[in-house]
Amino acid sequence: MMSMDDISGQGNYFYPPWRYRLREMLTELDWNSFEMKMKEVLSRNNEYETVYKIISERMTQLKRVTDEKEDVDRINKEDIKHIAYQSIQKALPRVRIFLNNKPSLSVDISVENIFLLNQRLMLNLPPNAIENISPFEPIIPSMPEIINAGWFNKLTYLPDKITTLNEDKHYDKLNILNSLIYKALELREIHLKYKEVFSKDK
Amino acid sequence: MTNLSKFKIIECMERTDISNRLVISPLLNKELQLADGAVDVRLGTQFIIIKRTEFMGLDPKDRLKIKERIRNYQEMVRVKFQYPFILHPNHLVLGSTLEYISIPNDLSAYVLTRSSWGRLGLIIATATYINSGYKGCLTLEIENIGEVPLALYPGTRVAQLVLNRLDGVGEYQGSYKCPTGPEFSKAHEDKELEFWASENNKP
Repeated sequence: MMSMDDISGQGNYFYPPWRYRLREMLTELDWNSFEMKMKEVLSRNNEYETVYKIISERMTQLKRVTDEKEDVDRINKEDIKHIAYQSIQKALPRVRIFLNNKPSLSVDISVENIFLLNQRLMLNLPPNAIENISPFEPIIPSMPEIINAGWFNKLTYLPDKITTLNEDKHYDKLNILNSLIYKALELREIHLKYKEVFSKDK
Repeated sequence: MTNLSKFKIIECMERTDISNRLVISPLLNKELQLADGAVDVRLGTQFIIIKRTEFMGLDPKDRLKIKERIRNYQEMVRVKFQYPFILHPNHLVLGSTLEYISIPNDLSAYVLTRSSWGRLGLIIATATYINSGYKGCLTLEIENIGEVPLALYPGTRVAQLVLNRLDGVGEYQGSYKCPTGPEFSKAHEDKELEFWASENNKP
């Protein structure tokens, strides 16, 4: 049975412990500023209140999980792994710079867009565009906005544990959600490319 | 049932309530795609090809066999944009629309081949009716009945959607739930099949 604190080894394909990865992701996410953005949207439109509460509760849970340091303690007990993880920590800032220089990832995220895309997912529509103002001149969301909308939707409407057994009614819903996200990512790319080429022609 | 004019199609697509809106997304080019009574739709990137060498024939009665071996019978291929999918004469494949479509409960639709492709020998759909309330990409049964192979490029406008207003309100009861690409037939899931294909019911 795997635990959150299993340190890298053959059994987990040399992945860092879950808890460790979660902690790094939370640091990267910068939840406090993300939450402020969410609250700002809520002050204008409180129909997203339920979604916000669920996301916020989940973040509190995750923070609680990552406040424990069992994974780090285990790493520190092993000399070689301790050294290896120190070098990972040294390399992380460079990874951050590398990723932030990727145009598709270093975009501003609009929390309002994520809420709007989540509304589309609630209706089983792919989150490839925001068509509230006009379906003919839609806002094309960024990749992180699409993926985050998927997470919002999963956290809000699906339980944590979904089995692949046929009797699990949530399994179909999760499959639909995944395929809607894939579809949205594909459509977003071609939509942008089409717009770029055809706006040049005009 | 009456066919919707261009003006009425736009009206249905601009409904404020998104749950009751006609969604054809993305509509990449309003000028090219919208016409009176119809909306042109594009070819998607995924195709289902039947692997002829893998099975002896299809009998929907053998539902368990079909369900278990469906992955052996069919192959899903993905074609990149700007690359062709070559469809040879007398070859049937399943494709889908690029657009994701949501038909509100007061409308229904038909999908038809665009005539310029029909003249080249391309048939785009045989089961053409789309129920009200349907959501998803439309599976297209694509066949080349012409004499020469045809190069099909994802994104090309190959079909058109003719929209009708229903005399009342309908609800989708089908078994295809929100597909984002082509789906293999579910004829073997037909609840009546047990009766019509049963050895026990033979006179």
